[in-house]
Order: sequence, then C-alpha cells, then structure tokens
Amino acid sequence: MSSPHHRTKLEDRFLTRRDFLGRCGMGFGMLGLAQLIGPELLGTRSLAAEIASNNPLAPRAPQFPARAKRIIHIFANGGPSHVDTFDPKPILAKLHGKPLPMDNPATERRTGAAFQSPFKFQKYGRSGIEVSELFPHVAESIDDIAVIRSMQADVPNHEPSLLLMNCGEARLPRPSMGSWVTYGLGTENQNLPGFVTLCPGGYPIQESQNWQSAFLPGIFQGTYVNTANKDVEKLIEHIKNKSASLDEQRQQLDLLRQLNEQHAKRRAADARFEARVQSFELAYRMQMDATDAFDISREPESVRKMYGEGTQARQMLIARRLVERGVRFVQVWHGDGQPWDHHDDLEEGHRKLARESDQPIGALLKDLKQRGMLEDTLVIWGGEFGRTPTVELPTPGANAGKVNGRDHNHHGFTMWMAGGGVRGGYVHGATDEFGFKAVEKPVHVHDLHATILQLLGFDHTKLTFRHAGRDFRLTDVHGHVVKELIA
Amino acid sequence: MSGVKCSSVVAAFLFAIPSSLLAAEPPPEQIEFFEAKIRPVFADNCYPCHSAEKKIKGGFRLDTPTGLLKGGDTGPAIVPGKPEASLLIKAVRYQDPELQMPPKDKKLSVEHISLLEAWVKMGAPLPQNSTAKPQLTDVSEARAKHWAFQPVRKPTVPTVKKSNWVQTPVDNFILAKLEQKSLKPAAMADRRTLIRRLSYDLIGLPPTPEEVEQFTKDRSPDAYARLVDRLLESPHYGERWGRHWLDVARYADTKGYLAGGEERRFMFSYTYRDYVIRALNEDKAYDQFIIEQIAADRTQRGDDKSSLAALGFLTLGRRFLNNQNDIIDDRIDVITRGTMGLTVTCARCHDHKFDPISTKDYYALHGVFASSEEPGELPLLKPLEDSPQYQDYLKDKGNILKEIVEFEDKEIELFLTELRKKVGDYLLAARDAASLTDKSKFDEFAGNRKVLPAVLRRRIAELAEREKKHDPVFGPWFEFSKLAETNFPAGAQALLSRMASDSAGINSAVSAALTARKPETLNQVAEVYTKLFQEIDAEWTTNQMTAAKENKPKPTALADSSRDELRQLLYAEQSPVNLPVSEVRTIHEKRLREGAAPLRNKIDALSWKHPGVPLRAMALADKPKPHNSPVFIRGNQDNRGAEVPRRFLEVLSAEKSVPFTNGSGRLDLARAIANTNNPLTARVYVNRVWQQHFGVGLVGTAGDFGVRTEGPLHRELLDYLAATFMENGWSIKKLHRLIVLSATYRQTSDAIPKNLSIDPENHYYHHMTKRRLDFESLRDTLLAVSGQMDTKIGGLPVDLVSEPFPKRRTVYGLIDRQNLPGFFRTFDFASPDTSNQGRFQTSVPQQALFLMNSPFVIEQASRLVEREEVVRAKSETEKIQAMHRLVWQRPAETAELRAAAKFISQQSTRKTSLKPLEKYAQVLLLSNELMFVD
Repeated sequence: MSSPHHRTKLEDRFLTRRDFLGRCGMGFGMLGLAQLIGPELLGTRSLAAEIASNNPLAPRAPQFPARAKRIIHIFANGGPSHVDTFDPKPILAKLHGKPLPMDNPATERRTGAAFQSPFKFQKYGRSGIEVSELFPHVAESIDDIAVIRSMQADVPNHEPSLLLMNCGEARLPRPSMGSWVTYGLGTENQNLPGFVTLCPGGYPIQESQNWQSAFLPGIFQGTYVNTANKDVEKLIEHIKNKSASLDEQRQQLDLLRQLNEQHAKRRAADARFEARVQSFELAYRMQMDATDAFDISREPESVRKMYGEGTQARQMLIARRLVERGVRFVQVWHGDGQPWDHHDDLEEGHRKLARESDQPIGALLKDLKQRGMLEDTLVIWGGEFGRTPTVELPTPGANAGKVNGRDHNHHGFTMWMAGGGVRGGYVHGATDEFGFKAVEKPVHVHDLHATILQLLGFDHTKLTFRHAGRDFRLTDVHGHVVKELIA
Repeated sequence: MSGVKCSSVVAAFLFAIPSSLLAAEPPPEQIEFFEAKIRPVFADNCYPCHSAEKKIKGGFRLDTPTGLLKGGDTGPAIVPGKPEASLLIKAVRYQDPELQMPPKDKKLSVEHISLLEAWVKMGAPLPQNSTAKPQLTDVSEARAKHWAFQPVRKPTVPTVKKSNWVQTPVDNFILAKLEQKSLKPAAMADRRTLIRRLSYDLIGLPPTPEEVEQFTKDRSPDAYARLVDRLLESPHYGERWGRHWLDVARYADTKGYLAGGEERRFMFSYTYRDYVIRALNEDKAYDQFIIEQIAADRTQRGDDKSSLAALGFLTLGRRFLNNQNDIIDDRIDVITRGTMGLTVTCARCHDHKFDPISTKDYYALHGVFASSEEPGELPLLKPLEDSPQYQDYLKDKGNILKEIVEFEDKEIELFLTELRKKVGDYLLAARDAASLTDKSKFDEFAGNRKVLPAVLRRRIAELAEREKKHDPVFGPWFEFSKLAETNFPAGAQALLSRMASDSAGINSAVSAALTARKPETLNQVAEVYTKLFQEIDAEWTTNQMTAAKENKPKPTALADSSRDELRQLLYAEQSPVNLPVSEVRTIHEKRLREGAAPLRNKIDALSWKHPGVPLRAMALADKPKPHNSPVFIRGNQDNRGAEVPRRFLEVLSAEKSVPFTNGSGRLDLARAIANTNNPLTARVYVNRVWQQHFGVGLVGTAGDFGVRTEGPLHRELLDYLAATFMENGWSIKKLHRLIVLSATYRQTSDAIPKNLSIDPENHYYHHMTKRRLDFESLRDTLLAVSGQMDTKIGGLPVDLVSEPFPKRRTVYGLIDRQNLPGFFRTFDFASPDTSNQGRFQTSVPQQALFLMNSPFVIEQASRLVEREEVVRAKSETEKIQAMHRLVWQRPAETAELRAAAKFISQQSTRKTSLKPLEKYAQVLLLSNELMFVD
C-alpha cells in the first residue's frame, strides 16, 4: 500500500474502491495486463469512477481487434457420434461386424466390432465437405463452417469432459468460458444478462457447474433459462412484479430516487450511491427488454417458419434474439441430462435428436447471415466428446445390451464453428481411418478455447484473474491457437 | 532426466551470466517474454538437474533469477545480444558434440531453441528480483527477508501530539501516521450512526428504535463501551462473526456434483456451522478454535464430544466425484490459506513460483491427510439418550432398512428369472467359446453373444464338469453339439433314434422335448432347452401359487420325477442354469447399489429431517497405519517421486522441520499453526478481523501473505494487534474491543475535504469507511424490520428460496454449492468452493429486480405495515414515522414526509393488490439509507 502506482488489472474493477487500491498498491499489477482495459475506457472515463460505479458488465474492448463479438455455443450434450454426422468413414461399412485391425482404444466401456454408420453422407457446397443425412439444413451452410475433425478431450466420461469443455478443467471449480468472456468483454446490453444458458427441461449433467463463475464475481455466472417454459415471464427470475403494475413501480422508483437524493445530499459524495440508483433504473427497463427478447411470437411468420417447430426451434430463435440485443455469450443445450448419449439404439436416437435440431440450427446460421451478423457472431457446435466407431458391448446395469449403440470417445471427435472470423468450408485435421483417434492436427479442448479467445480479441495467456496466489486463465497452462481455423 | 548421467565434459559446462545483466530493469514486455516463453523451457528441461529442489549440477541453477544470475564459473554462458557467442545457445543446439544440453535424447525442440535465441538476442532480459517479480523461493533467504515470516514482536506504542483523542492503543498507531502526514482525524460520529454501525458490524442486524433511543439518551461516559459489551454478549454476535469464518471455511451443506443416486447433502453439516457460532459466542480462544478444527479427534477427553463437530472445517469441502487427491488438496488449501495466508496448493504440481514452498512441503501435508479418513460411522456429539423422539427415529430408520432388503430380494429374483430365459444362449456360447483362440477377447465375444461374461465363465466350468461324467440332462446337448454342422439334420435324426431305443440315463422330459422338436440345427436344440426350463419355471411357480391360494401346504416337488430333476437344477445353487445369490450380488452389484441408493438416501435424509436424530460430527480420524506420501511429479499421481515425511512447512519450522509422529500428524500440524511462534497465524486473523471492521484489511490480500505481498503501511499496528491478541490468550472479543473502542473506529464516515486532497483513498484512516449491507445483513434486515425474524440460534438448514419463505436468519439458509440459488450470487455471496479472502461488491440490476419484484421482499413490506408500532399509530404521518424509525432508525424529516404524502395521495385513487402504505414501505426497504452504513 505504501507504493501506489497506476498499473491495474481488470479483476480489480470488481472490488470495492478501497479493496482495489489496497490490492493495486501491493506492487504487483501484473505486466501486460494493463492492455486489458481498452484505451477507450481509460481515455474517456476516470478509472476510479469506473471502479466505483461497480458495473462489472459495462462493455469493454478486448486486447486487440476482435473477429467475433459474441458467441452462440450449441451444446449437443451427451456426445454426438462424429462418424454418423461430420466425419464419414466408409471403411466401417466394409468392416461392419468384424473387429478393427487394431486394439480398440480404451473408452468408458467395452466396445466390440466395427459398426457402420446407418446414415448416408453426401457432399455439400462449393467446398464439397461431406455431411450425413442427419444434418441437411446445417450442411447448406457448410461453406461458412469450419469442421474440426480432430478434436480431443482427456477422458471418456461425461462429468469431467463437460467441465473440460466448459471450464477448461475437468475436476476443480474453475470459471466457465462464458464467465471468462463476459469478465473480459462485459456485455453490450445492460438490460439483459451478459451470459445466458438455455436448456429445456432442467439441467444437463454436472448442472450449473457448466456455467459457473467459480472465483470470478458471481455476476459472471451464466443465467439459466429453462426454455421448455413457454411463458415468457417465467423465464427470468423476478422479471415481473405480480402485485404492482409498471406505472405503479415507476411511481415507487421516482419516490426512491427522491429519498436517495436527500440521503446523498446529507453525506460526502460516494459513487456507490448513484450506482445503486442506476441499478434500479436498469432493472426497470430490463423488465420490458428481457420479456421482449424471449418473446419469439414477435418474430415474423416467415422467420418462425424457417426455424420450424418445437423446443429446439424456439431456443435457437431466442438465442438469435439475445445476441441481436447484445448478449455476449449464449449457450444452448439440447436438453437436460445427456440426450446425445446413445449407448443403445444409436440410429433411432441420433435420428430423433438431429430431426429436432438440424433445421433450427441451419435456420440460425442462415438467419444470422442474412442479417449480416454471422460475420462477427461465432457459432460453435459439438458435444463433450464423440462416440466410438465400434459397437458398444452389453454391460450389466449400464446399457440395455442391445448392441446397437456406440460408447463415448474422447480420443477423436468432431466439432464445428461458423462465423466470427472462422474459415468457412474448411475441414481441419482428421481421425484415423476408422474414426477412433485424432491423428492429423489434433485440436485439444484447450486449443479450441485458445482459438475462441483469439477470435474474441484476447491472447488466451493474458486473460487472467488472480486467485489464491495465482493468475488463473481459461486455458490454465495449456492451449495453442489453431491459426488455420481463422479466416 | 534424473537418470541421465552427464559426461565429465558436459559437467564442466558451468557458465555464468555476466553481471552487466543486473544493471537495469528491462522493459515489462521483455520480462513477460521471459516469464511466458523462457522460464517454462528452463522449468521443463533444465530444473531437474539445475535447481535447488532437485540437484544443482555443476553448481548452476536456473530455477530462480538469482540462480540464473549467479551462474557457474567457467565463463559467461550468455553474451547478451549475441546468440552465436553464447555457450547456452551452443549447448542447446548440440553444435559441439562435447557440449550438449539437455543431455542425450532430451534435445530441445526447434521452437524452443529459437525462443532461447530470440531471448539472448533481446539481451537476455531477466526480472530483477527486488522489484519486478518478488520471489523468495529459498527458505532461509525468505525467512530472513520477507516481513510476514519475521517473528511477531510487539512494537512500542508511538507517542502522539493530540493524545486526548486516543481511546485505545490502535489510535496511537493511526494518529502518529496521520500527524506525520499532517492529516486530521474526522469528527466522532453521532450516537445514531454509532449504534447502527456497531450493530451491523457486531451482530449483523439493525438496532431497534428503542435501542437507538436508549443509547442516544445515555449520557454516561461508558455508554459506548457498554453498548459494545451488550452486542458482544448477544447470541447474534456468533451468527454474524461465525458467518465471516464460514466464508474462510468455504462452508456448504452439500458435496457438489456426484454421479448417480449418491446423496449430495452432508448429513450433519450444520453441526459444524453451529459449532462455529457457539465458539464465537463463547469467545473460544482462537488457537484452540484452530486446533479443534484440524484435530479435535486427537484432543478428546470425557463424554462431551461436542468439539468434534469442529472437524467439519476439513470435511465439508467439495467432493470432486470422490477424487481423493482433490479432496486432500481442498483441505490443504482451506487450512493454509485460511489460517496462514499461504498459497501452499500452488506447490501441488511444481515448487511455488514465488514463495518458499516446495512440492515436498505440499506432499508432506498430503501425507497427513492421506493418513486421515472419515469414520464409517460418524461419531455422536454426546452420548445417546433414549427418548420417544429417538425411538421414533429408530422406527423410521428400521422401516427403510426393511425396504432395502425387499428391494434387493426382488431385484435378484428378477435377474435370475431373466437368466433362466437364456439357458440355450449360454449353452451355445459356452460351446463356441471353446474355439476362441484369443482369450483376451472373451468379454467381447460374450458381448456379441449378448450374454454376461462372468456368468458365461461359470457356465463353461459347470458344463465341463458335467461333460466328464454321464449327465442325464445335458448329456444329449453334448452329443448334439458334437455333430458336424454340414450334416446336422441327419446326425440329429440318428441321435434321436438312438435315444428312443436306449433311453436309459436320459432325462425323459429332455428326450421327449427333443423328439417332439426334431431339431435341424444346434440353435434349435438350444431353444428346446430354453423352452423346457421356462416351462418348468412356469409350472413350479403356478403350483406354488395355487397351493397358496387354496391354503394347501407348499408342494415340495413336481409330480413327474424327470421334470422335478429339471426343477432341482433350475433352483440349485450349483447348476448350469442357475446362479448362487451371492454371485448375483457380485455380478449385479451396480444395479443393486444404485437401485437402493434412493432408499439409503432416505436414511441419510432423516439426519436433516427427523428431530430425534442423534447429532453427529462430520469428523475425521487417523487411519490405523499412517503413511507418508511420495511427491507426485507435476501433480500426476501415477508419476511418483521420493517419499516425503509428514511434517510442517519448512519455511515456518525452527530449523530443520521435524517429522510428525503423532498419528497422521494432524495434531502436530494444528499445534504448529496455532502457535505463538508461528509468524503468520495471528497476523492473518487480526487482519481478517480488521478487514471486517473497516471494509479493507491492513493487508489487502487476506488469504495471501506470501512474498508478493509487501509489508503493509500499518505494519506496526498489525504486529501490535497480533501480539496483543496472543497475549490476551487469543481472545477474539478482546480484539474487537481494542478495535471498536478506538477513536479511529468511531470517526464519521464523511471525510474532511482537505484530508481527501492528501490521501484520497483513506490509506491513513482519517475517516471511517461507509459500508454496504452484504447478502446476509440485507436479508436479515428485511426480516428484522418487518418484525418477522425467527431469532432461534442453530439447527437444521432451511431452503431460503422456497415458499413459504423461512424467517430464520440467512446464516441458516441451506447452501447448495452445486446449484446455489441465483440470489446468493446476485448479492455477491461467498464462494462455497474455495476459501474466501473477502467478498466482491457489485451493483447490478439483478439485485434491484429481486428487491422490486420478489414475493419475499413484497411480503416483508406488507408485514412492516402490519407491525404493531405502525398499526397503532393514529395518523398516516405517524404511521410513516413509525416505519422510518424501524427501517432507518430515525424519524422522517419534513421533506421526506412531504414526498411520502405526495406518493400516498397519488396512490389513493388506484385499486391494486398492494395498499399505498405497503408500496411506500417497499420503497423504504429499497432505499440507500437502509443499504448503506455510515
């Protein structure tokens, strides 16, 4: 405290003014972190005012010009099979029912012979990238999509893999990607949460830890919305007052402002007083804006038709309305539990889920493009891992023993990204000839995170937060930016 | 690389970095380049042979900048700016066959070599130890240099000019610095401000209008001191200050995410929470408080086991899907950061980058916790006492246990029934398995056949036994299965004729069934067996049921002796068509366990539902055979280094740290922490207390007193408080008195303008800091002013978000760390996952939404209007005054009354669900005057 200086860190802006100055005076405002606060912010407002106003969600410029300004992460939770969707392996048809000419790598359970894909693949777009019959609508946008066929995670189990994909760490409580991104960038619309998680019916496996803020301030936690709920006003907690109309609330807030003004007048100035007054005004507007954002009935018929029917269509459309209004990070889960987890009845199961989500996702991509938003909106699709090219063998108490499904596979799987500066019509990396392991240009989840942050204008090694004596980051000590994925 | 021997030539590679590098601080981006790109290369490739913790080959150390700077003695290793001339670069390039580093097959990648070249070309910039990156990883150096590792010595109380201002020695320290800076302390706050400040600070609740009036009228000189005493004696004190400790203890009532049906609630978490509240209320000596929380099980005497509840400090962390090393890590973290401000868990994978904490230190503590375990049956907090409630609890528990047995019996029967349907499948699989050449594919083979490998193995053995002798039931099967596939129908026909002519020794039910079927394939033979055994099963079941229905004695056999032979086989423990129950339990274990989990959970659930449940401690105990842990290299449990004796942190040990001998070592550890010779424990705690009183600690990072934390501005004060704290027998309440009785604490929160120009950030405490109500204080205030608060102390946690809303204090709210309700986070509640050093303070619209719209707040507004004080008031103005007194602890002023009257008149014509006064009351609950404490 004895040597105050002016270097500062983003994280300090969420402490009280005194805490901040206390910390800042410690003499270790880490190097290179000053860039985190964009020159615009430093130039136009006094830093102290910014801190004292305590608005952690104010928009912030990234470290360098961003390609993507917002993210929609479509989480096909449970683990969609890559050899049935975006990674064709015709050899499986030849080997069907026979063992692979290699030992099956260890996965969660035992798998047996090669298991051909029950789905046909065809080439799409100018790029001619092959996509299975499960995703014809998505495939129409293939020239805007970078298909990463060489994804890798660490273990073949849902819980750690979900945490790895979301938080960059499989076990310990770490902030989720959405939390890091809103921490780094704030959000564009103060009347909506900066990070929204849509999941119909309940929570996925590992629950709200998937969008946890961990040691970051709680406001960066994802706001969960159950999209099975069609009643707009039930979607966000406390968005509506059941006993007072908006007009009555306006009168209450006007009175509140008067009382607060007199309170402030009798005291030495403190920026926190006004910040709190403002928070009520924001909340008042949020009641209308948030309801509006979630109300898809306000979309023209033609748009609704493009997305189709059902929950997936509704939530993709909500996702678009949210990012359109400036929400920074929207995560869309297929459903509660682990819907894509087809240890049995893979054909039937995958067909059903793809039927539910293909048209809405395809529509989302086209819709964003038509609106000129795809350019700077990054859309990510994938699960926490893929599935084995071999058939899963019966395990008592674990599957139905029908021998027509696939086990989890973290050795190699597919994810795709579109928009937001991503190189479209491009296939990155490859799995082995059977689709088991990523062998060409493997992309670990940490690498994916590094690349996503890069697209958002951050050096992933510099978006950090000091906690428990360490500067933590999404990629921990890992991660390499996959430059080929960036257009 | 530890196994690689360097040749003598290479060993001579002792280079030094020229001292010219020490001259000036390089630009920050260059330092950053070194830290981000170069240090990791050194760490991964060079430290194993050139670092203090491993070994120092050739006297060269690269693990600290100092080490790099000291270098060896065969001349400079680096010529700044000239990679070509630098020995280091030559060595890593393997240019010279006699100078190759790292040796043998460990050559650096091209990328790494070019990074090193770039760094040397840059001038080999290094951080200067003293300024850029404080780092004292050397134990003796750190002990000598870092302020927080120096023993606590009580400094002389400074003399001050304006000595009549001084109330406690705290003021001497503060005033001396103020005077040095020509700053004047602010005026003393008025009585209403003081009682409001003190009440929130010490008990987390607003004073009642009566308390305010009494105090403002009390003109006796000790009025303030008596107020302090009253509040410190209030049982609500423990709730307030206990919660501060629970922040440090990352307290929660649930275990975090767990798979399957595993119960997530801790059975008796609240016994720890209540222990903490009680300890604070009783002013338990802090050293004892620490010892009990780490090792109460080792200090037990007599029947009163209540202090065992303290061990919840260790056991109530997240469970990380039951990963033991993560659980241990969490325990090491909560202890070291919580009590000593040391980030020891940084040393889980590598030596601490800044502090003198090695992986050996970490794994020395790891051994302590690896030698501790949670007892299978949690210990009772006091001896069992029989009571009707307890008996009722036992009855409920007994009923659930019965349900479990019934469930298991049903599941096992179901499993066996399914198995009996697959007699033929197993016969075929057993036959075909014999031709399996690769035995490692056995499970896969079984899977393809849709049979269970474990059962199939048994079947093969059973059948092999039977095949050795003549078997009336399976004899025909063996015969059929030997037939050639190509000519099966003919062979089968021949066999059947032979069986018809010579039926001796063949079970007639079997031969009849085969004859009737005339099988043309072996599959058909298998089907015959399946069908036959199913028939027998059905027949036997029907017989049993009919007998039961007709109230006849249960049949003991089937009438037909050959059919009865099959029946016996079907239900025999040792038979190729059945399985012993014990075996079913093994094979079917997962399903039995998972299926019974909800029932077992019901037993656990009694512990937070049934009033007769005997209270237990979330205890920890020493394992019978304590053991040391090896260092996990890079934190990888499969990569084990040398074993480390269980012992205390080296830097805090007198000379050489002595191995712990007392069981797991937890008690030794506890005593080493709760020790007047430990330079950190008292300092860290008094700093936490100061931080709660003033909003910011004397040391800004309450959980990090490591070498990157400079000595604070008020270091003498910190040491004075720490020394006095220990002198006073670690009494927390005495510490509070020292602080809150001070003139410093009693200042107004409005600064003298001139002071602000000299010290705008109030580093010197020339006025008090305004505080904002935290999550608990806010919710508690709403309940207190609405007159609804249930003031009961302790007990089962309550769900704060479900209606009807509980009226208990917030500290009793259920903390589900996995899915913490949104409003906890919105209001910056402490993280339940990791030891907290303070709370964030944000102002976001979600807080406002809660206050404007949540039914809980609206309910409190309505109750406020219904309070006796308000109802009894005659005029509207008097009602408003009564509400102001309750909510703001002062009457409304004229302007406020005018605003109120106007607001009420606006409302009167409207017909809505809330009455005008209720709406007014809600506005008061939302006001800044309620939210901020001067």
